[in-house]
Amino acid sequence: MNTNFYFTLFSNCIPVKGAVRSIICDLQRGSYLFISNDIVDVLASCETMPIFKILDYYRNINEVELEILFNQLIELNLGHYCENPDRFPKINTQFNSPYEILDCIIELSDCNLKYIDNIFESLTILGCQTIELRTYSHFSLEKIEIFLSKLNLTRIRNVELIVCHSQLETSNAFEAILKKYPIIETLVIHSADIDNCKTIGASNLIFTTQIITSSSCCGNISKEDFKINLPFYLHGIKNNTCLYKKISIKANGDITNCPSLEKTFGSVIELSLEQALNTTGFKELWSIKKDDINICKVCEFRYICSDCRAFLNDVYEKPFKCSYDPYSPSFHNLS
Amino acid sequence: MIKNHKRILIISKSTADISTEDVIDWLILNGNRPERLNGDSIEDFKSHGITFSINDVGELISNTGMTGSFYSIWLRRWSDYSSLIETKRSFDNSVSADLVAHIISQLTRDLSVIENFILSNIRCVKFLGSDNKKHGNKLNNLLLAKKHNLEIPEFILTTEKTSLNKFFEKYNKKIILKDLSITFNYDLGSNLYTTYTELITEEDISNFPDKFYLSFFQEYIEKEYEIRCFILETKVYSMAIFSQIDDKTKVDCRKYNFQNPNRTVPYSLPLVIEKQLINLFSDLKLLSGSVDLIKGLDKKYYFLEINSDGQFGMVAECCNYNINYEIAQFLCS
Ligand code: SF4
Repeated sequence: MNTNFYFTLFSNCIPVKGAVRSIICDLQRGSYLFISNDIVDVLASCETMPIFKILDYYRNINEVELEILFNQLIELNLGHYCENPDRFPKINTQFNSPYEILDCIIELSDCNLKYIDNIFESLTILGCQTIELRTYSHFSLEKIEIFLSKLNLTRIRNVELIVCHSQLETSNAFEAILKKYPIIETLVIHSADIDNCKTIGASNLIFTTQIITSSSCCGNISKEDFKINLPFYLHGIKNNTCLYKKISIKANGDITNCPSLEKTFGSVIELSLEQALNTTGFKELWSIKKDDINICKVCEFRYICSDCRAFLNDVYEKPFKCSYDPYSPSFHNLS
Repeated sequence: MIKNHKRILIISKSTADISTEDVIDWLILNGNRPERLNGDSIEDFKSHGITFSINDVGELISNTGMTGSFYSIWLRRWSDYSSLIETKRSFDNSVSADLVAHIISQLTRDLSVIENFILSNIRCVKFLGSDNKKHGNKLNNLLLAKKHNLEIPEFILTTEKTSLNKFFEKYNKKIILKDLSITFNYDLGSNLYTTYTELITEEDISNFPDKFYLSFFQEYIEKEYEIRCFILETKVYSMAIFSQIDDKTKVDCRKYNFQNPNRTVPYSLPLVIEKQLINLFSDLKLLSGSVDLIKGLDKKYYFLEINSDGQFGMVAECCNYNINYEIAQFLCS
């Protein structure tokens, strides 16, 4: 090991310190690695000190141990030796986007169907990129198709469709929908008899036995739902990852931050989404970032966790449906 | 919102181009209404009726909306004539393969004349983008780079095995063979063949005939990492690609390893190198484009090539550079 060199983590491999342990988030490959908090401190010093100075500074670490650590991280392709760390700047954390709304959730209903043109026109003006269309109970495929047929007139690029399984529709009918509307990235059919997953073209068709009867089925925090990527991380350090630039339309036409939140900012029957967005309070929860939330702020998963600002007593409290305790540190079973 | 009535034209290949969409979205946010022409729609005559003609004062007019003069034009990409593959398939077996090949190459040449004609006859104050035919000559660009004091891997262009052998020895038996124009793609239906940059071995050379078609050989540079830059006016956005770690991508990082993608991170080039690149671009009268470089194990930066219509999406995304916004700003201000 050339001790005149520096050891640096790649700038898209970011250590996040928790109460008792840390992770390195590999934002490029979408994975994370547990490490101890002490190592995170050493790695932070490595950014500004060449290796010989590190050895000088941390008297309790010897060169062999340090070399083993560095080589392990190199083996995992998380970092590298370099002569001049200034050549490898950190990723700029300013995340700019030309869109006023990124996500929209619509509960499919006859009411929303009636105002569909207004809704999609607003979403186009706001630049909405991702849309989730949901049904909790049977809603005919013909009506769903009316929603889908309008999508190509908008700027929406990603579509997730969540529908209720019913005896009336066959698996073939769902496959046909995916073939006809390749813009749908994922089609989830809940309340199905079996759990099954397949791909149709570039889309996923998922049958799940899980029963989603209302918006209160949302908000679970689990390892499986962690999102490990650069845009999500950049949003998470500045804004609320659950509600930032999100708008929802409930089955009765109410415009809310999220279908699980009670507070409404008007109805599609009387006002446009742009108007609702500019109502006082609509953007209030957008700025509550993980670093502001009790317990979450010391959780090592805070920048990859989906968060939920709906099921809680206080907006600065950790989500109800999270069973993780960063102090123990483990996931407890929810009773 | 400031209402802006500058006419902006964006020429792209097809509607599915994400970088184009993002730039358009920034323009829309700033109150602009850019007009758009997709190269593909010129070829796709079945769904787009297009007529070009010349008016009394000798201006190009058309029913595509792109007539008159614009404040700015961004030539993101023109069509790559991929729709000709469809045309090729539309011939039945009674037409000989040889004749089909002739017809297709004739069509390609004709379309390229039309492309040239259209591009040189739409007027604008600001023009961004370029035509690879003008700036894409790898050999010219290498010489020009050297003139601007950038290091380049040494090369020869030869038909002679004896010269090749000398070159091979001179560079310690480490040389590569490269495409001179675009990457050669050959679609056999079930398999897509494409040329990659490959190291030439002693055995390869011994199998070569004494004389061969004029070919381009380059000294192989042992690299620490690769660097891809996107240059817009005087700003250089760089990204390091650690392809050396992975044997699959050691010589040509296009041989992408999907399980374990090459590490791509923001990079800051030494200012002298940035300056040399900017000078090279201004010599070429290029306002934007991509450059490939190598950081050698000898610590030198080697210029490899310019892609004047280079994709910048990956550089922007991996490094969180706001290139789409900067391009939109360029076009509307
Ligand atoms: S404690 Fe907070 S940040 Fe950690 S997993 Fe639970 S909800 Fe996410």
